[in-house]
Formats: sequence, structure tokens, C-alpha cells
Amino acid sequence: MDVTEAHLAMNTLLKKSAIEIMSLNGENLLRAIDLKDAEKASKLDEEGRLVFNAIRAAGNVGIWTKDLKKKTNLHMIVLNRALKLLEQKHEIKAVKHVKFPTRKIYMLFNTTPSSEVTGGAWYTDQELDTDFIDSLKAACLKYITARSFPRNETVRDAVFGADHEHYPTATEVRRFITESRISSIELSVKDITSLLDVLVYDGTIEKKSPFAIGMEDFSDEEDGDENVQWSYKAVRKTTSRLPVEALTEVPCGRCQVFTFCSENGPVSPFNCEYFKVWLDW
Amino acid sequence: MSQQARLCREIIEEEFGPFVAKVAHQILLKGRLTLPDIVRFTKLTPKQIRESLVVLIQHGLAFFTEAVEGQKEQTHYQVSAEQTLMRLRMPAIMQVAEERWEEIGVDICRLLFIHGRMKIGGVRDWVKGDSKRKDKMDQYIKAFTKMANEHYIIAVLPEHSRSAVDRYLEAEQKESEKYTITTAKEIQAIKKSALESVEAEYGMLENAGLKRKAIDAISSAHKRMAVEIEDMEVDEKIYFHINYERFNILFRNNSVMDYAIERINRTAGQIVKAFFEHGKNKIRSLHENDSPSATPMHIANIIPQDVIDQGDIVLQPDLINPGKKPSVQDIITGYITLLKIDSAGFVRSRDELGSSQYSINFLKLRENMKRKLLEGLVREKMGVATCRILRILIEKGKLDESQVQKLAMLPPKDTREKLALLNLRGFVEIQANRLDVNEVPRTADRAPGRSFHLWYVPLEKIYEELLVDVYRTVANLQQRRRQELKVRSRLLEKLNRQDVKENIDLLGEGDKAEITQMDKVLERIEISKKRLDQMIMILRDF
Repeated sequence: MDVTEAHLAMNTLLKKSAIEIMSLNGENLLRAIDLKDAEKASKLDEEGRLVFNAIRAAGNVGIWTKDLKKKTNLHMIVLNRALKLLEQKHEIKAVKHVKFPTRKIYMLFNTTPSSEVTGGAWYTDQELDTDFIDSLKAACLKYITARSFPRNETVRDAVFGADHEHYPTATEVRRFITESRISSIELSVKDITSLLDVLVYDGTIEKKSPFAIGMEDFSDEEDGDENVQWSYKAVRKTTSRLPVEALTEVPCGRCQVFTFCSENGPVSPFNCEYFKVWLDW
Repeated sequence: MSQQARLCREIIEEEFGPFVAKVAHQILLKGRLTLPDIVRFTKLTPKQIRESLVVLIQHGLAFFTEAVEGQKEQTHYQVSAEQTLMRLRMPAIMQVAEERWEEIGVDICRLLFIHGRMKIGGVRDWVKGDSKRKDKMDQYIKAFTKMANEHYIIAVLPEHSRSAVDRYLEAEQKESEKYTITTAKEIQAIKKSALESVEAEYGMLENAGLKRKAIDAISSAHKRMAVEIEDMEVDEKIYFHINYERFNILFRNNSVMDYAIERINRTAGQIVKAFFEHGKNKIRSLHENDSPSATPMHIANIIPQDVIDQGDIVLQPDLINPGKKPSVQDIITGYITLLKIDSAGFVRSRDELGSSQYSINFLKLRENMKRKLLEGLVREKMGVATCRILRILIEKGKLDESQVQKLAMLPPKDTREKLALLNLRGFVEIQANRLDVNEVPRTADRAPGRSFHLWYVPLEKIYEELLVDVYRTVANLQQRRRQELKVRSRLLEKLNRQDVKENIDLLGEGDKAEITQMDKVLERIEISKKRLDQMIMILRDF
């Protein structure tokens, strides 16, 4: 087929919306469209087709109304009319994005929203499932604590030496979780890692570098950061001997009018009600 | 009103009475004052003021400038807030004295607190006058000498009565006489060398007041042994007073040890203690960043054997001989390595001094202990989740609200609430960034004035505010204590009567119940004061 004929064919197919043009890496490429979709598109009018194609291009991530407006260059009213028509025909649907709950995200009716939109493992019904997270955290902590200290009946606070290498890593924790079937949904290593990071920020466990002490890290040999496995060690949970509660033990530490209280004012240490209760207890 | 000045006034009022407190308060608030100024501000008579100043100077709380010959300069007085606040540690210091030198030490400390400064002759007189203790005279002298040798009490020299500022000004004066014309750079050099010479002078005063015992040549063999046991003896003519810095060093070392026990285990605490034992005589000031260094051999010599045999550290088995128990050297080295890689940074290696030399790293420890205190406080006051957010911000620097939400795994509404709460209490602050400065615009919206905000934690500022809060709380407690005692003044009068002192059963049941109540109240206040003082120590002194 020579070039002019090819061009003609391409143009007719484009008009019928049987194919679409994409530009990838600077080149223009053609892609065939599913016949069913093409039929649907041909039944619509100009604007509807434009909108429909744009939404379909967004795939399972969906597209926001403002972005849609920009892409199609249509007026708001025209756009809304087209969207209403498409929704009535059940070709598209509106989905709530978990990060931007006030936005309207549109995608094709039969696509499942990606995990980004629904929030992934931690979200249930558009909401962060805190109970689920807490129970998982507790389970991880228990497992890590069990492996962070040597089992020694005679000595209460035995400890591993500095070069002990068998602290659990994220993959091992993940295996433990899946084996014990605490969670009904599938959790990836990345999910577990972010959960363990939360525990690190709580101060209950610590991250340890997998490399031996004093060695340079051979990170240029690893491909990407998927191979850097951090190991996690529990922090021993004892009552601190530092005076951390010194300020909050005293009523002043929790007093609502602490800054207002002064010796000559209406609220002073001399007539403080909180003191009276505290001293009588 | 300055919280620190208020607290100092309360302390002085409790110990020395309202007049002295008033004088001290005015000088603290206004800086250096001359006598006529003090008269003007306190409205007391000059005689009363002079007597108060004598009391303050006797106890080392006030300084004065001496009149220089030929210049007509009035005497300025200055009160040291630091020295006054150290008096809060009286109970803790007496407890340490009891552990080390038993009742005798406690008595000597109490004498020094009551009198401010004493000669050894004064101690002798007091012991003689007290019927119960007359026969223990030489024990007292021995204890006093030992305390002086170990620098728990040091001599008072005329330099001590002049404030640091005055000494510095004089040193600067001396230095500037060397140059005829001074440029800006030379002025800076003068200031720096003046500061150094003042500090050096202060440091040399340690061994003052002590002199070697006179050795009798005839029975020299016997005397040589005696000289080995006691280095020096106390000079009769010198006044001594309590050296707070030495006690602070002791408190600091104990704190570090406790922290090591908490983070690793008890044996680690013993190792830290051994480090301190080894460097005991070389630690001079609280502000040093490293302890004197030690090798594992030194530590092994100090630690008792049964601690090592506990076997509470699990090391890699020996490759050649797997069944062998680890040697003492291995165990010690294992613990030192653990202390080194612990995130609190207890020990660090000092390779520049030689191989396998380690020392305790105070610089990092200070920061860590302060942080621990801060995090504990936020956790108690505002909950675990809020503490989590604070830690995230401290570690990562400046973050946007959505980044915080993602890292903390809290619902967005909660993160916003908690960040606002932290902002209200002054723990985090916002930095507003203009969008158009940024390379990549966040949205396509080009409206000017639209910006995004980053949250961050200003650590130093928080520590200072926290310190002021603690001062305020201690002052509140102190005032309440005064109030409680005033309310019970009738009871106290009864207690102070001679016949009641002899026989406590003269009081009725109701009175006895009131006494128990009063004791409970006072005890609670004092204990809280002590714990808050520990907090002050970590925040300010370490």
C-alpha cells in the first residue's frame, strides 16, 4: 500500500473512531480501538465522543473534571451536558478519589479503580481503617520483639551482640503476616515497609542498616532500591529512668490556665484548685 | 516577670527570709546595681540592705566589683541566678554525700549549706561544741580532707567574689594595653584572648587551698606510706565551699548510666560505669564533649568477674572452635561495639589516640536525652499519634501536610487536627512558601499569592521554652509550699515549743492527724521539685 492510500484509510478510520493516534517518544503511533467502544463512540455526537475518548485514555486512574475541561477545551456547561448523557447511558461512572474526596473522578464503567484512587490496602470504604492498621502493627511488633532478644531463662535482659545478623527484615515480617492470616487482603512488601516505618516513628522499633559495621555500602551493585533490605529490631520496653513525666505529674503540667496563672492574679498558686485536689489525694 | 528571677526569689526567701529575697530579686531583675540604686528600688534601709548583701556574698550568690585605686567607681553588685538555682539540688547533693561518706559527709554538707563557706577550723569548733559527736573529731577532719582532695568542696578565693563579667572586662583592659592602635580585627582578638585567660584562671583554682603534708625526715619510711594514702592536707586559713560542678558531673554520669541500662541492659550500664571510673580524675568540666578514653583492657580490669560471667550477650561463635565460650576480652569488646552502634551514641572510637581507644560521647548523648524528654512530654500530654507526627517532622525536616499524613498513616482529618494542636502549643511552626518561586507549579492555577505551607520543628526554641515552663512550675510549687506552711502556722508554732519537742504525745489526736497531712503535702511538693530539678539538669546543665 503506498503512502497516500494509507493516509486516506487512516483518516476515514479516525473519523469513525476505529483507531486513535498516540504520540510515544516523539513518534506518532496508531492504535486500534475495540469495535464495541468504537460503535458507542460513533453513536454519540462530537463532544460526547471527545469526552468519551479522553476518559477512556485515562484508563483505570480516572480523570478529574477540571483536567477533562482542559483536555477537551469545551465549555463547562457543554462538558457537563455530555457527562450527564454518558452517565445515563452507563458508559462512564463517577468515583470518589481517596486523597481528594471533593473531586469527581470519571472513568469507564467497567474499569476497576486503581489502588491509588481507593488508597490501597489500608483503606476500606474510602476511609483509613485505623483498627486494622493497629492490629497489624501490634502483630508485627510482637513478632519483631520475639526475634530481637535471645531466649535466656537465667538472665532477664540478655542482648544480642553487635554483629548479630538475624534481625527480621520486611520480607520476613510479611511472610509471618501472610502465614498467620491476620489480614484478609493481600499486602505487598511496600505496604509492610510503610507499616514498619510507622512503628519506627512511634519509637517502638529501630531500623538497622543491613550492611556490616564499617563497610561501605555497595549500592552501585544493587539495581534500584528494591534490594536494600533494612532489618528491624525492637526497642526494649522498660520504664524510663529519665524524668519524662516530671512535668505532667504536677497539675501545672496539664493546667489549662498555666500561662494565665500568676501570683497576683485571680488564678495563682496560692488558690489553685488543681493543687488542692492533687495534694489531698 | 522573668520566671527565672521569680524562682530565685522564692528559693532565697525560703532559706534567708523576705528582706534578702527582696534585695536579690531587684538585682536579678535589673542587672548590676549600686547601693543607692538598691535603696531606691527596694525601699529598705541601707543597713538592712548591707546585711542582706553580706548574706548573699557569704553564700556565693552575689558578686561585687572592688574599688580601683584612683578611680572613683561605685561598688556594683550582681546576683548569680545559676548559683541560686543550684541550691535546688541541696537534697540530691546531701544524698550523694551520705552514700559516699555517710552521716559525717551529710553533716559537713549541711554545715556548708547553712554557713555558705567555712574553714576547717570552723568544722572543728562545731564538732567540739556538739556533745554527741565530740569523739568523732578525727573522722570529721579526715572526711573533710578527702572531700577536698576529690574536689567536691573547693577553696574560695578573692577572685570568686568578682563576677565573671568584671573579670572579663579587666582582662580585656589588660590585653588592650598591649596594642597602641586597635583595628576591628585586633579588638576581636583581644576579646577572645581575654575570655580564654579568664577561663584558664578559673580552671587553675582547683588545687588551691591544699598543701602537701610536711614530711619528717627521721621516720621517713613510715611517712612515705602515709603520704601515699593521703596526698594533701587542708590549709587551715582557707575557706571552702561546695563545688556544684563536681556534683553535677556525678549526677550526669549516673544519668548516662541509667540511660544505658534502659536502652541495652544492666551489664551495659556497668560498662559505662567502668568508663567513668577509669576517667574519674581527669574529668574536669561538665561541658567536655568526650570522656577520657579507655581501651577494653582498662575496662576489663575494672569490672568484677561475675558480671562478665552472666553470659547475657550473644556473640557470633568462634569460627575455629564453635563450642568455646567467649573470652572476657570478646565480651567486653562486644558490649563496647553495641554501645557504639546504638542510636543514642554512647561510645565512639577515638582512633586518633591509638588503636581501640573508646570514649563516651557526651555531645550526642546530650541531644538524645533532651529529645527523649521532649518526646515523652508530648506523648503524655497529647497522645501517641501526635508524638509520632512530631518525630516524623524532627527526622525529616520540613514537610507538607499530605506527606505527613502518608508517613504517619493517620486519616487526613486527624493529621490536620494534630498539627494544629502542636502549633497551638508551640511545638511546630509553619513556613509559607510561594508557589511561583518553585520550579514545578503544583497546580496549573497561576493565581499569585497561592502558596503551599511546610511544617517543621524548631528544636532549640522548644527546649528553651520548656526550660522556662519548668522554672515557672517549680516556682509555683514553691509558692504553694509557702502558702501551705502559712496556713498551718498555728500548728508549726505548737511543734516548735520546747515541751512538745521533748514529748510529741502532748498533742491531741486531731493535731497528730494534721501533722501527718502536712507531712504528706510537703513530701509531695518536695518530690515533684526534685524530679523537675532533674529535668532542669538535663535541659540546661548537661
